[in-house]
Amino acid sequence: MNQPMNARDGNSTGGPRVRPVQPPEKKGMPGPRRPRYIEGVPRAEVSDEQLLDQYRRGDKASFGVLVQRYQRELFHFLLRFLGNRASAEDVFQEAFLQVHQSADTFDPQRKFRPWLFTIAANKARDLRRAQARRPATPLQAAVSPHDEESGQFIDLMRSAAELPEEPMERRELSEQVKKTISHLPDHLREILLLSYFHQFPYKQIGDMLGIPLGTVKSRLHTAVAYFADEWRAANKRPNQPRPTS
Amino acid sequence: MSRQFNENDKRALDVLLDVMQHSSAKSGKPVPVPGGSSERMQAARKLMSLLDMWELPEPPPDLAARTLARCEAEERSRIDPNAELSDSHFGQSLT
Repeated sequence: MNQPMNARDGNSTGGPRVRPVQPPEKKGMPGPRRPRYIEGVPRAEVSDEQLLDQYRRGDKASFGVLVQRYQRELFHFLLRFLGNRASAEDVFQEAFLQVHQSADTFDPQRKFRPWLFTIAANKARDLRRAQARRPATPLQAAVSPHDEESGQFIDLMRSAAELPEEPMERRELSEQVKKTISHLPDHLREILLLSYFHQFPYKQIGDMLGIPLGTVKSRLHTAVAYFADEWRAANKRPNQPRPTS
Repeated sequence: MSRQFNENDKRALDVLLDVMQHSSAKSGKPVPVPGGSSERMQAARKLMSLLDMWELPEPPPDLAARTLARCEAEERSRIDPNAELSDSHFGQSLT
């Protein structure tokens, strides 16, 4: 079984609080020379919030560290959400461009990571809305954003016990999971990604998306139930065509 | 029509994710789906473990550099709105 390819891969989740260095010059992008220490603390161990603070004070290289720190995790979030590599790369860049432009407005009392993911999720949603002019798939239409508290009940244990009758290659399993999740409506998929793959607490997700805690829970339950039901149905059919994308 | 778990299944999911999130917050690292003693918890764990099968490619090695170049280009255009942003502005000195 694979470990989750998720939260904070390669990221620091905090580090020692250090006093800010003197601003070397005006704000801009990192140059080729990047000091590895901030007042004796390795840059890699400095917290996200500290790095952003350093960047606001003119330390160009700190921004580059932040981008590299979140390169893997944020890219994977966007790839899972958008299902398209080119779109994920583009939104990744737009998200950090927004961070760059809004750095001065960042509240230092807040955490950087949820702020970054909020920006990225908003931009990803904007892109999806722009793409939504295309006809929705039947599965996407099957779950209404307004009926999360009603509908048919499924059995968790029965659903979870279902696995393909024939052994599947790892790649096939991966494709099947991807295909099943990609059929979730955006508002359910993003909750599942943020909660499971990136392990944000429910309350933080609510704050990030501007929705009540109860809505976060109901959407997550619906998303997982939908995944379970689709997974079970897909693996029940003996001659089910294998997903291709 | 939406699919929903019953209340016991919902609670099992909440507990499972809560344990994962707290463990992750403590250790600073992602944690795999934890085990559980009850049959329902085990079912939830098994179901969520399926999600881990979704393998993803690594980000392109130049993604960070391209991102920084894009920000740099935006910064240049902000400072000098009349400056032309040709391709030569992107990817220099940040690769």
